[in-house]
Amino acid sequence: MPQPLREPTFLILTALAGGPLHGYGLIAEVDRLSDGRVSLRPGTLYGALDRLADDGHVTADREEIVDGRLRRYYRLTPDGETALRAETERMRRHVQAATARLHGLGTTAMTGTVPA
Amino acid sequence: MSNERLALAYRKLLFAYPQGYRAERGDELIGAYLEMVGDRRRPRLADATDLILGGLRQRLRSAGLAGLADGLPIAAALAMAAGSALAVFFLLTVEPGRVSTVGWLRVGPFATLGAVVFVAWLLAAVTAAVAPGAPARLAVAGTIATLLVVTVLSNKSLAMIQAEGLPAYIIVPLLGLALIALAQARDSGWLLRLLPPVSAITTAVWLKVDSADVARVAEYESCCMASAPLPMALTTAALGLLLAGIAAAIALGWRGDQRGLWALTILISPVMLLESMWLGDVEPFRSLGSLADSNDIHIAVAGMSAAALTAVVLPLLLARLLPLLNRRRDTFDDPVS
Repeated sequence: MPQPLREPTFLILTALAGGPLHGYGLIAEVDRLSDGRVSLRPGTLYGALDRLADDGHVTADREEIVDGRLRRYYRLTPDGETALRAETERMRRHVQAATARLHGLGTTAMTGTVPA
Repeated sequence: MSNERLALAYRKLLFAYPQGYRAERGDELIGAYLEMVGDRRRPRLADATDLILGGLRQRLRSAGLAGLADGLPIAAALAMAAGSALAVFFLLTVEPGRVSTVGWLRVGPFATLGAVVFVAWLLAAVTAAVAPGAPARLAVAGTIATLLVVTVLSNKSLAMIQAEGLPAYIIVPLLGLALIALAQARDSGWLLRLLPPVSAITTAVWLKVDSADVARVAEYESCCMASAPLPMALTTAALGLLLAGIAAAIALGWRGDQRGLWALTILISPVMLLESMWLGDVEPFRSLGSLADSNDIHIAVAGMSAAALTAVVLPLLLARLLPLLNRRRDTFDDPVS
């Protein structure tokens, strides 16, 4: 059974699902996706990217020089896409179960009875 | 600070990375930082911490030990729990007692300066439960600083103040546990966050029930008799830590998650430190420890030697064994290959 992805890893893969991104682009996109809750720093980001590359989930796409600074773009691999789909499905099932239970709680609160 | 000088300041902070990695990825890392920080004048402390920890992680990865970083948050919670149990034990047994040395300072309601360390430890445990991540790490760092200050202040040869401190065979394992507890993760689950307070409360309840043993503890003894309560407390903490590590390794390993195994590997070193008093009679640690003339220091040196050995050898062995085990499992999973 694959291990659940940690939140920063999940957000990095989600960010790359939109297309190749370079380091700062990834930091900004993860920040946007998490509403500012997950704020990655470059040291942490590149550590995570190295691990994802070791697992075959991301790979370098291309390089460019902008304002004298090196930008290396990263993209999702087919294995990375599979891992992201599996994690999204796992989370979707949890959300579905929680939503059903909460809906049941709402019914109980309104009627005072436990739904059948 | 100009852009070039800021880039140079960030480049200096890359010292923790392996040379090859710096050459390959240094420009990219600095570029990402320069884009992120805008017109900042100099790197912040958080930037330095990020790059130093990133460099250390990269060195572990190069040695095939990347799993150590994954196991560290679990090891940190278990180390914090073991230290919390010891803090409660010492606070409720030795610290309310009278110090036999005439004329020595009493610290509030407590007998020795060690009480300050134990109170700091329990505050760090509560912080880890309610505010994990940076606040918890800061609280643990504060505990380490308190332990070091108390050790220096109460050192009899320096005699800065006339107050009793802690013996070396207690200081050293506490320091080992605290250094591991520094790795408090921001996203720890409730189970890991509640372990330290639960362990402290359980110890307090146990002491209340077993009050006969408590009465026998008068002061921090010179090390060590097998039946004495203080060495037995350290041994109980070591055993608890070991069993908790094994339980984590089995429970997580059952789901194919190796973090528990790495956490157990990390925890063997503080277990060795807690068991210093017995290792002092075992070769080659006895010979290493005998370089010190005091019995307490002899014990501490023996424990540190054993912990240093396990901290290096065990992770390297695991790094070599895990890929072989995974390969075998893949072969069993896929009989065609």
